[in-house]
Amino acid sequence: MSEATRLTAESADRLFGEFVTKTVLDEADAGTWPNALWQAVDEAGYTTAWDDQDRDSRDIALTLAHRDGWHTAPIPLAETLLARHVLLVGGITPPSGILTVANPLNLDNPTLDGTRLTGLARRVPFARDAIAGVVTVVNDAVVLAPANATLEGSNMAGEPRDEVVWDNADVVVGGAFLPERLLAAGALLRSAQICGALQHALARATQYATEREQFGRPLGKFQAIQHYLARIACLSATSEAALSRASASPDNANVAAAKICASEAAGDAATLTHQIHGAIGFTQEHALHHITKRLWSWREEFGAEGWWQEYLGGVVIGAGADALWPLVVADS
Amino acid sequence: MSTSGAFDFPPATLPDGAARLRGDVRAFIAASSVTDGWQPRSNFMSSFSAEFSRALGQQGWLGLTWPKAYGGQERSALERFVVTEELLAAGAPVAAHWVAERQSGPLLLRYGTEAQKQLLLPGIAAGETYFSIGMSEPDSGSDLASIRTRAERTDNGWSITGTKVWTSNAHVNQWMILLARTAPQSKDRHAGLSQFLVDLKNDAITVNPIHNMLGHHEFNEVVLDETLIPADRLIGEEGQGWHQVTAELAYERSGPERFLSTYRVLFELVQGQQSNADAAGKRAIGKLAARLMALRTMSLSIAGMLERGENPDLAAAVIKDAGNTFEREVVEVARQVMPLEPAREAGNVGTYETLMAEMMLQLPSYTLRGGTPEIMRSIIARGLGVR
Repeated sequence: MSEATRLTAESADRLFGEFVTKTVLDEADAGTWPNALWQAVDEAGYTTAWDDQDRDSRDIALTLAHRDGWHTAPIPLAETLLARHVLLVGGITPPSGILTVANPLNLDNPTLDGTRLTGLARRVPFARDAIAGVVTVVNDAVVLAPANATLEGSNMAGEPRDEVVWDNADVVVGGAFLPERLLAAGALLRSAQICGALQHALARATQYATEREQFGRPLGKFQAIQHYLARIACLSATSEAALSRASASPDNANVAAAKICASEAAGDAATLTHQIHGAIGFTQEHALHHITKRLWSWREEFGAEGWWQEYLGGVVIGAGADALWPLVVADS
Repeated sequence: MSTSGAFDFPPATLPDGAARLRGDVRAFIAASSVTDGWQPRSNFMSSFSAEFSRALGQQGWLGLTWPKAYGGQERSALERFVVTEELLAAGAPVAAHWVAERQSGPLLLRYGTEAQKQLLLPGIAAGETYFSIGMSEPDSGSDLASIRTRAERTDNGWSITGTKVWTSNAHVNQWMILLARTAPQSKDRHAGLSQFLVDLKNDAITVNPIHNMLGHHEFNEVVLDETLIPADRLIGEEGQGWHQVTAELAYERSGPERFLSTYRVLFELVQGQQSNADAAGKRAIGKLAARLMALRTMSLSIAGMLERGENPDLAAAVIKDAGNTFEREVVEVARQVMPLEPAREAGNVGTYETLMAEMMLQLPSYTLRGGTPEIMRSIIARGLGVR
């Protein structure tokens, strides 16, 4: 971790630690926009952290997504970071305010006629809150469209995932951009968020196993529990390694590996963390569900592991067996 | 609550010159497999070739990080990593020198006397001197501190009595590093242990073969009965054996052999899917490739820790456990995608069917050698602070 990313992580931990309280999470679950949190994040300059195209900016954006994931911040920080970045690559000046991104896989029959867009986007994160618009790719070009949520929905964690309909809507059309690139960038950010949430799940499970006593000793003294914790630690470490590889060199194969490892780890880690917590972890009152519901949701978003496995498998098979090892050591 | 991760695998970058070294190693392996006619073998312990090890020594690729005075090249741990991962991925016959170069040499370099280093390190770096590991005993497997082999002081050395077991290649190697009790077991179970050099060719010992379930002779039982060895065979400090052996085990556990031992299966699987991959086949290969890419990044990170002189104990336990899990998964996933009947045919190691048979029969040993997953998970739990 570079000095700049370390400082970013520390600052983000302080900010999220102050603003992402249990009350804020519960209220966000019930549909209240966490305005104070968003204001703080915006004033700290987090939303514009990926405006530049260099490696340092990408590292800082991924660090912010990672800490956002750790703290389960109920805001579209990752989406706004990505939207601004894509707009700037596409030569469009980003409007200020909340932005979001529509996964190109979730577009139904988009038709772009000049600057007029017709079509539908499903499962758009925080569309109802994204006053500055939704960014997506149509006809291999960046598009900034109004985010009018016609049907409100949410993921398992209560994060808004809305349907957006465009009927001859006036949009801004920018430069060339491949839909796979938008999908991969979204997958990379979600991988970072999952990695943060995995670390938090491990920290919570470890703490609970230290505090909770049964049969006259802490849970952590039981070998079965120790091995569950070790398994979560291995899942977390593997996902972090794949993420660090992809953030150093974000080609599609590395991003695929990062999202596959993170999405695979999310389910097993959530299961084990709940098992260690027992029934208290299954309550609304306990904070664990804010983490595990996001793990279960984020693993499917911007391509579940199955989607990326098929993609990566196709790349590996297409290149041939002799090219597999060079791909594995390509980060050097 | 700590907001950081439990275990850090800081990213490592290979130094300038690593790419060229990698190219040289690949070219050497390609030429050697043709001239010497060896078949790629996934399991690094299955193919003992003194000829191949000597040739590697002549290239200067063994003991790469050691001082030149002892036959080394004074290059970085990251460059050594490149050599080892290329040899493993190619399935080269590395069993002869592997243990000596991986852990015995580094142990001697760290704790050995000047005379021991001069006597043994140049031979290891030349690919001519091979070592066995003398840790396990009939009654001591995972519980290594419970060993009963005793070393007692004599007028001019030590008298050793006890039995070591699962001692790979003791029938062909020249040396063994033996862990023995030099003081009775006390409250501190880890106190009173010491390490010794045993000359497998000349000391008064008995080496009895143990055939594994494939019918191969790699294991041995090594019996010492009041075996006399000179005083200068003590390695490091008397009573510090546990501390020393823990450092040795970190070398043993942390390398890329802990996730590459079924790599040939993945290779054959990709080859087999070349013309007829469906979605399920692609997903299976994508799943395995992703895990392999992550494990390799972790492994490179550990090489970086070694280069900086850090102790990779915890990281080694993580990669050993995650790597073993992956090795088994490769074989199980391959079975799903290409369900051909595993076949054992004498002299035929080149087909998918014979490779699968060999791997399935080898797999039970992968999660035993170098420490079991149960021990690795307990080490990880201790690192988390719950033990």
